[in-house]
Amino acid sequence: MKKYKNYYVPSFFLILSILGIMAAKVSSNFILGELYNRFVRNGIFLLALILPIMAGMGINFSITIGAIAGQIGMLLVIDMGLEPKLGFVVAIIFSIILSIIFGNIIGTILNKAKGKEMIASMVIGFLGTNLYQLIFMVGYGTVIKPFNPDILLTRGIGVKSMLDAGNYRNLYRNILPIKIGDAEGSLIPIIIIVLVGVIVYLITKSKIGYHIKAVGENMVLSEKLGINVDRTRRTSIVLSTLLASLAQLMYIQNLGVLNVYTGHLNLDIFSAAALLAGGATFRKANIRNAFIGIFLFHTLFIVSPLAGQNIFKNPALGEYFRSFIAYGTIVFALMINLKQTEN
Amino acid sequence: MRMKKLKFKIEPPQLIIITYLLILTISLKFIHISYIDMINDSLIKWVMNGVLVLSLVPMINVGAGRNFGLPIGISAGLVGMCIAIEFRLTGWIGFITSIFFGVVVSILFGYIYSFILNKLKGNEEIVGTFVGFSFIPIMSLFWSLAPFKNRQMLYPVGGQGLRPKINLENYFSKILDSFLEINIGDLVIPLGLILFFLLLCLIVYLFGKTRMGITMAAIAENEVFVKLSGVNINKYRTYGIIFSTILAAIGIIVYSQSYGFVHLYDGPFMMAFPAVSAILIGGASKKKATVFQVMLGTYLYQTTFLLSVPVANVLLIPEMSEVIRMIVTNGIILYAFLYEGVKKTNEKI
Amino acid sequence: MEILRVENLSKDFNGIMALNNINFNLKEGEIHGIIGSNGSGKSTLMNILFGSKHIRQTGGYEGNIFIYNKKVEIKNTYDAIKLGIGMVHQELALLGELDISSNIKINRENIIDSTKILGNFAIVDVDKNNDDARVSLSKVGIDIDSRIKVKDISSNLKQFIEIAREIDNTSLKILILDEPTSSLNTRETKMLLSHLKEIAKSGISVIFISHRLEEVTQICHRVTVLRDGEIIGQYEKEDYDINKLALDMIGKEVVQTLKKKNKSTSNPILSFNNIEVSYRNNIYTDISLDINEGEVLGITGLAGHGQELFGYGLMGLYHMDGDVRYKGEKLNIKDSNAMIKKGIYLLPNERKEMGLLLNHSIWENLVFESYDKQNKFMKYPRLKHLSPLNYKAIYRYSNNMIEELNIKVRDIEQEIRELSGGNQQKVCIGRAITINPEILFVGEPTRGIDIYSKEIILDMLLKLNEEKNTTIIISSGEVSELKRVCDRIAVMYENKVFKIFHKDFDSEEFSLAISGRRLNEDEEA
Repeated sequence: MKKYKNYYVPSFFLILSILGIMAAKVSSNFILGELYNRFVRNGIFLLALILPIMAGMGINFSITIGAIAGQIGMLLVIDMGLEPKLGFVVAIIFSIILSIIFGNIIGTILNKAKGKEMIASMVIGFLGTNLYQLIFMVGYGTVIKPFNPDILLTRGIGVKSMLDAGNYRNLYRNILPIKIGDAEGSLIPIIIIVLVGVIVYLITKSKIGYHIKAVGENMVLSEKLGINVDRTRRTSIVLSTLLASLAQLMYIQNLGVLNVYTGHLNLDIFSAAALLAGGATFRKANIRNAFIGIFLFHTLFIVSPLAGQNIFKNPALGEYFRSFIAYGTIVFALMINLKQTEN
Repeated sequence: MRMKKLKFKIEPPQLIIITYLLILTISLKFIHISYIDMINDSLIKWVMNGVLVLSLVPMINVGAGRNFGLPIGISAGLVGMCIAIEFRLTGWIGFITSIFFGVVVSILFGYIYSFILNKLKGNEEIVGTFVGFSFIPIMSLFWSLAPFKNRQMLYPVGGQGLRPKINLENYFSKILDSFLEINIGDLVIPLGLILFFLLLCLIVYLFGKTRMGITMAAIAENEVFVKLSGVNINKYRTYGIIFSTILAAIGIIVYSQSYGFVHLYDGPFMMAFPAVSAILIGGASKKKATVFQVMLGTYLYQTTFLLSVPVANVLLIPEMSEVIRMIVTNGIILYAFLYEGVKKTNEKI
Repeated sequence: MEILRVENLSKDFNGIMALNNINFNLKEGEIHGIIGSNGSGKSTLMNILFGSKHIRQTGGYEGNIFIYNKKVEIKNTYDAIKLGIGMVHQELALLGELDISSNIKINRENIIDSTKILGNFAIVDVDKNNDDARVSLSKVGIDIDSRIKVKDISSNLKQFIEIAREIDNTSLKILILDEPTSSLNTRETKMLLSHLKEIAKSGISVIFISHRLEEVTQICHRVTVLRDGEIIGQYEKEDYDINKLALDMIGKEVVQTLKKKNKSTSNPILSFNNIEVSYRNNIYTDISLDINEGEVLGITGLAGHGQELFGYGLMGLYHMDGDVRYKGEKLNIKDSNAMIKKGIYLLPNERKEMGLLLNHSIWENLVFESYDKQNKFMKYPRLKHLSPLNYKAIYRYSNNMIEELNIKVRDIEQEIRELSGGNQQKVCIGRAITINPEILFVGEPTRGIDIYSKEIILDMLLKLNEEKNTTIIISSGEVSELKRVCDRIAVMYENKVFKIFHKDFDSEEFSLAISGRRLNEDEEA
């Protein structure tokens, strides 16, 4: 029985998804197409959560900050008006630099909040969002002069809430094209995500990965064995932030629009819930959980508003249901995990 | 009886908020805003949010942490108000009926909430946050499906279920605000409102002085010690959590009558953070909060943001006041997490 | 050749000397036994040598440590490891989720050469790790697949793996073993001991801490006995005498008994019949003890042998199951909250952690939750739990108490944390007097308390026993104190009552019982 325990949560989601698909009455092509898009947009976020979990810090809700690094990178290249190909590369460079800086700050803060990393990382996410809003809503046009005044609101202060990134959508058009369901896309983003997955896997097999696992299991002991606990934890957060920033770039590229103030919100909750749906816990997560979770959770996400529409004639009910599932999954995981650590 | 010294320690959170308050007060002078108006508004804002902040006290003092699950108690209060509106009860009857049903529902909700928190001792804050968050969609389903009939609460056209913001104008809007109002020149003192708040504060204060209140405070400091004294810890925690939930329900009713609307659906979503921030500004710690800290913290917190609105408007960036408010709110909470001391690793080897 | 020398080493914890002017040396390739009872200072000595955080946080140590005649300062564990010191703790320090080889090679992982350039991100060479692990394991005589996760192997094997981890460190010079055989059976113990000899022959010096005297005498080249923070004796191999060593450990001073009248009866007030107790992930079964009405019963034993388990089990700190009879009636031991109402009260070993509200005042600690017994402390007893307190009555009572018990305080409002250990303990006993139980469990009543206060506290307990006929059970490692106040002393060994001694017993027999041996006992079966 114990052996199958890891599959309880995924099986539950599988059943819910199947019921949802039946109730939604949509074509499989529609679902597949949506899944392709969501896989491309969210896949790396889930991978970004794995290393902090291994390091014993639980869910890193401050991947929001990593996403902000990606948002800033993209915003800057749009502002500079670069060519999509060059722009994307520059955006990647910007976000990497920013996310390394941000990651070190977050890691240092979380090392001071040992034992309550999750709620602290959440508040860090909120606080970072507020500071980001302050810079782009208030700072732009007053203190900071943009290259291109068109990105500002008509009153001349604050960046518009939506910027067009449409030309980035076509970045890999016609390169390895595939058609998945209703979505016509390219194989490239899938290859990128799988590659990132492999890199994360290799990190877990490296020296630092061994130390992350040791620290995750027992900080006091690791310290005694001569491992620099704080630095190891910080490294895991930097890597997580870095991956989240790349994930956000993938997201914006696929969407073709930069939602300046909202594009990075809630993805922490949904990524966490998706990873947990894939069978991860707050102390244990692996690549497989991420890939299983993203399909199960997002299938449910795609079909539940439609199911709500069909059953209750009210799509809002489906939306409530799916946000309940997202939060509820996390509560459920908290109950299971904290109970286990007690014993 | 012996008076304990009122201690108000100036630490970075207090320092920041007081400095900010001073800057705003001075800048008001330059933009010709009347101080009297501001004082009038500040008294209303004080009580409007004060009861919600007060609701954190019993849980902190029983060692169940700062109640980030505030939306649970708030939801109970919202249900209470919806029941009163459904029966078209207006004025005092409506207000009192709201409180009555709010309390009944909050006892139920509080009991369920305490059941979860007692299972996950020591992690109340993260658990509370997510239980609170997941309560929002559950309640949203309820608002959409519950068989309320009063047209004034339902979606006007299309849509199903209750509307997101129910106007209280015909019911009990401002009922406390205008009760026993005293006018001294331009100064308007909402005496009834303040008395109501002080009454609740007194109840919480007196409860803290009872045998049970004193034992609860000891649970916050040292659970094992109290257990060895033959006290059923979980039972006391349950009482504390239910007490907090009841106060939160009353809190949202007081809030709504000032606000003039019942805000359903996403309304309670982010209400816990400002309340927690306010009590931290008052100087409360994770395990001990006093009524005085609630009153002081709420006043400082709410007044600061009240003053920032006209200033931001003059600068032509109205969003600024809200953004800065959120930065201060979250910054103070984060500060508290960091400086409450790292989890002690009792290393003996 | 001398590898380690310790000169005039002293360490105090808040004014209480844990180690007093220790001089000690260790030769290359020597196995040096260190024995001593609880609180003798042997773990403090080891903690200093291994740079434990605890030592640093409590103000460091005094005296000098030399390695190869070079003065060294051991500020933290990292320093100790660099100096070639390795330690295997009694509480196992292994990571259960990692496999055996990863545990052995932790922080010394082999790296695949071609990825060396990646620094910390270089990929670990699992095969080479396994090879190394196998070599180290064979040195301690173990042959096991090193890819198994540590959590899946028996705790006996874990002991070996930990030693293998230390040996795997090629710069290891001094290996400290803290009670390495405590969880092993006879065969495994033999195997470990013979491999330790081999390890020592290869040039590594071993400090071997144990209370099993026959093991110590069997493999150690020299033995040092510690008692009360001082070195009592040091013996070369040819001078070993187990009985003398045992007496050295316990001490032999003839003491005047404090107990005056013997009012104790032989009818049991509380009996434990083959109960089961579990704590720290271990289950102990078949534990029995009868406590007689009106007696002062001492319970002693070495640390970790369960002298506290009766009181802790009843109060729900440890999980207890089975047949417990109180005044002939079966107790519902699941309901630990009801014990106080029935008249059973516990003052725990960990006075500061569990026995006091440190941030509260004296009076609150004196009367806390005694209100059911002392109705007068409530203003309106009819309101029950919602009654405010009657401060007048409480203050009068508390002022009387501090006078009567001679508690030295500024006033009754003073916070407990500001008091000395002795006065804190007096407050604890004061609360027990307020609650007035029929049976009082007291854990380590004199731990961390100055000599003068110790006497007063023992007197207080005896007075309580004589005047109110309270049955008192004292669990303590301070055997000489127990001898003076107790009617009977139960010796615990491996969480069972090993033997119960009545007044005027043989010291030698007693000291052997502590380490689980009987007089005239043949070779262990």
